[in-house]
Amino acid sequence: MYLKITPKKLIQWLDGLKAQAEVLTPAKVDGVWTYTLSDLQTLPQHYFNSRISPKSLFFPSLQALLGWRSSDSSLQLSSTPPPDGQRAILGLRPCDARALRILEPVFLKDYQDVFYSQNLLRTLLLGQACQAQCEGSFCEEMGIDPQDSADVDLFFREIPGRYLVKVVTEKGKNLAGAGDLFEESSEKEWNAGQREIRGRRDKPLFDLERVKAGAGERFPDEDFWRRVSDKCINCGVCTYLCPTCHCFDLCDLQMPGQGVRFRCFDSCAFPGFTKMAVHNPREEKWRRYRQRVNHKFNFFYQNFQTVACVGCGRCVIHCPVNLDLREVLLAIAR
Amino acid sequence: MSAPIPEIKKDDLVGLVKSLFQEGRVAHFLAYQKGTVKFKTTPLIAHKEEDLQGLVVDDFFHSNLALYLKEIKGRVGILTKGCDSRSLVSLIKEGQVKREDLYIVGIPCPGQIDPKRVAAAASCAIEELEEINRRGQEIVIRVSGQEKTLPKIQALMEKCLACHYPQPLIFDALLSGDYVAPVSPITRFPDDLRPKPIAEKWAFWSGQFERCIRCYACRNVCPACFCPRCLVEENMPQWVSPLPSKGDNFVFHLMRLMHVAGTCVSCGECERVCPMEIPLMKLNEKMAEDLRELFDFVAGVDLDKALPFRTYRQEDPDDFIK
Repeated sequence: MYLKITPKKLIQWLDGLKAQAEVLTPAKVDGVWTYTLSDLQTLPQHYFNSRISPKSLFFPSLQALLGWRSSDSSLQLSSTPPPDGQRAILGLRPCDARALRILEPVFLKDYQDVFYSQNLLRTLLLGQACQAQCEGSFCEEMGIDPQDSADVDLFFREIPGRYLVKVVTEKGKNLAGAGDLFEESSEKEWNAGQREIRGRRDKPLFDLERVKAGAGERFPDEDFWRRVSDKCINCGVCTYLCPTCHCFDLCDLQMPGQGVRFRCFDSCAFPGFTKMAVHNPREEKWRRYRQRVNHKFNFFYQNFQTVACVGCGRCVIHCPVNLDLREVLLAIAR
Repeated sequence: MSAPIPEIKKDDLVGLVKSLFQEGRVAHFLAYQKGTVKFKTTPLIAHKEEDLQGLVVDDFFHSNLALYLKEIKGRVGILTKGCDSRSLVSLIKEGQVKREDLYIVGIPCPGQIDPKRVAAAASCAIEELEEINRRGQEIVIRVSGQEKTLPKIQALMEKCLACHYPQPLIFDALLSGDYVAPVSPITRFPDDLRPKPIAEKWAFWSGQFERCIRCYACRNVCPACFCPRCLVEENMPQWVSPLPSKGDNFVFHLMRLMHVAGTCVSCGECERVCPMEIPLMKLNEKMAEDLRELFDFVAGVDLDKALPFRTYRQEDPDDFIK
């Protein structure tokens, strides 16, 4: 189903939305692009990928799971109530939206993580087409269309004088269908709204199929992994900014008579990763780097039939030493 | 009289390093290669002659390569700009590397360009900067197809405006070129936070540390943070929890600051790589100033002068060390 709306009516529509939900939009805060509450009246213009991916709005870096109170004779446990309150994310990029779907089987398949599922349920995903290829990105190589998405509720494309809207879910349909602000549109009009992506590469950097096969084939090649991970400094920038990395640690905050158990991000790049389970089976850096690449492009694919990377480019541009994942994937695909 | 210091043309650097490998003088060489994203040069770690293929001497070479001496031991050659050479002095003092194991090649630095400052001066987002080039004493940039010219003072990293050591303090060879400060150095970059009341400073740092994600990029990129096991990773007992909460983040950053006092040479790498853009150099600069004033000590400039902290003497009159 396709709709369109004038900028003026969009403002009205967003006003209505704000009455029902917290609306988060991209904004620069302390020099860093982030999704935050804003008084923006229309769709965000001219913004760049948030530094921390929107994953953190669903799987936060710090999540209280349960608490306890104890005395000499008793111990009382209390679970943390799941998050509530409706919210909407405006200006979500197709890559980040896909990442939320990639994480679904991790948090919802064998075990239903109440925090992730509640956060998904209470959030309206309003996607927006990209206009330029982000520096460091390789979304199209990862099978993501920067101007379309099936991973959101509504997806917006800007054309002169109008916003075209693709209705993806029932939730989106109910929201846009109510009232008379939206006009009908068509698939033809939607397709005609396709734009030239600024700075788009003429041909793909690599073939994803080759990467998927190659990561495993390369697995025993110690020299290869040593070479590609040589300059890695074992920090957590790539994993913590990544929209699909999801390793976490559990940590108890103990106070006299009470405590809280938290879940927080952890990174396979850290030498101390999994030390809580006695030891890290990947003492050497090259083993840890091999694990990260293989987890994303090999093991995750085997488990869930999708790779755990959306090519957003955050790890590429923010790596302190410019260890470029694209180059590693290129080498694997060769 | 000692032998004259060899002066090497940039084009001859690869030749020099090859001969160092052949003679067995070095087993590894740390240099730079072209970055894969805008305005970045990336470290090149060569273990053999063939690895030198991508070596470039470009305009952007922010990285302080001394960081890799934490990991790469033995006979190492290293390309170093004046400021980074202070890290080498520090590491030698701290017994982390031996002077005779290093082969230090100085590189003349025209001042490192800070794309964040450039973007601020050009009133645009950093993502919109298309090009940054040097033209004589000026920096020429391109934003949305338009050329703009900036004076160096608006484009260089703040540390470069206070560059007092344009030439490496220790070296075995120098690449030819001018070893002069990029601009007439100021004593200290003005920090508008300094005169503010304590409550305001507390509020400022609370806000900054609240944003820290504990990725440890600052610590891991820091040549002075060479502990094989960091206090934050101790969990029996756990001194600092891994939770990225304001309180624990505060402890982590202030603890790190105290631990590198006297070894931190204000190379600025921690601030440059911080994904949350926390202005860590404000802390480093304050610490450096206190060390200067209270201990008459400047980190990494003197191989012989005792460190203000962590110096052990047998005849120490205090009884806390047995």
